[in-house]
Amino acid sequence: MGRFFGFLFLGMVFLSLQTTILSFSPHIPVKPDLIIIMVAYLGIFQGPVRSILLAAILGYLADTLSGGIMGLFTFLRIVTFFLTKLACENIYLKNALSQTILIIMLSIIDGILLLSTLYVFSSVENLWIFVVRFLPIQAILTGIFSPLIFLILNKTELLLEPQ
Amino acid sequence: MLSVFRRYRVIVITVSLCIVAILLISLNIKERKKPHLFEEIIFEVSSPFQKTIQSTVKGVKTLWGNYVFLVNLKKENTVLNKTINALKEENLRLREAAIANIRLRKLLLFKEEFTSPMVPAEVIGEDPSSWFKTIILDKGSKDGIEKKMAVVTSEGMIGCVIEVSISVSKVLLSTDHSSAIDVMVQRTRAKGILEGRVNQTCQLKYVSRADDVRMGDDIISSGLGGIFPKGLLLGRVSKIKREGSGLFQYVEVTPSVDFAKLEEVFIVVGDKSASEK
Repeated sequence: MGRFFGFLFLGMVFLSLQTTILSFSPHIPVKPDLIIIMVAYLGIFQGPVRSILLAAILGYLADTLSGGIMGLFTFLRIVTFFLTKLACENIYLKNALSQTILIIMLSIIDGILLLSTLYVFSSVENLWIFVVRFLPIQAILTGIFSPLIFLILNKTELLLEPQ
Repeated sequence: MLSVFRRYRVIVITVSLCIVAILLISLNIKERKKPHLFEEIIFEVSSPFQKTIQSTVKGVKTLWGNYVFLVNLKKENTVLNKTINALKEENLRLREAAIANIRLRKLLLFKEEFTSPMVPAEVIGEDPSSWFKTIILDKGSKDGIEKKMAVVTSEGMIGCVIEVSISVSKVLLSTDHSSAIDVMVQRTRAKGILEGRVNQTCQLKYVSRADDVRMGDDIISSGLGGIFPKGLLLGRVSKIKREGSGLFQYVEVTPSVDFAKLEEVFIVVGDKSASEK
């Protein structure tokens, strides 16, 4: 239970960082998605039930702070978690390189899925430009951040429940 | 039965939650009158985090500016003393220009139409994703803020309030892909719809090819729709394409406000009642 709330608190901190200081350049409108990294971590290292609930809650938190349709990020984070679980069963994900590649792939899938969901429910006319021009940069940026976020999450886990 | 559930619990839970999320999207696709209580709580809980991070960043910046950079103070002082005299002379001329600029800016921005009361607000956060362009302000319903109120700076209009909580509010920027503002070209009064694009620019849509639009033309709000007051500056024409066939011309607009440097804004609180009248 302590681990659940500890991760939730950390998720809120990550979201707050995304809403405040994690904007790099006004000309390149991208920022790393720390929540994708966190959901991937949960998918790789944590129990499924607790992790999927955390993924859904973190998605809902992102929905609340974002200007998109309510439920969009909730849906995307659940899918992110499920894809991570699928990857876990088929790929070795215990080293930093494979984790980083997974995060980059998840970010790209997340972007395409977001666009597809918006296409079904709303308009995406101007968002295609983002996918073509900035999604790969954002995915790489998120991948670069993943070892650091994995380390923070690992240390937090040890802090919450020492072995 | 229980053993089957246990075996496929991840898939069952994932599918169930996905259905819930999709239902949530479907329910919220239409414009909501107000956020749910739970969303308001999240809003309220997250704002102290954002405020703390913002003030910490400001503090670090100040510390860096005041102390760390002062290591090379002596060298800089020598160089600066030499330039001071030259700058003094230039300063005199610039001061005159600045006074004229302020006067003209006041005349431009606060014409008769803009007598509505405004509430100053501080930007405490922005959208957590790169896909949407929203900002979070430190003023909410307790300060008299309501949905659909226009948000402006001294450089022009930036967007409108889309969600209000007790002490914070969310603003949809004019550069968001879902933003659409009825505008006109100030010089020729040609009308169009200003829509946001992802690369910090906007597109002026539905402007007839016959309409006279030139590079550098000011784009102002038309006042239609009742949300935005008439005559507020939104940006300047930065690209025009009239190639090919079609009824309309392609007009790209660069916002007058630098959204990357937004810190303090004004919420026009009087326009709600004005539009209702």
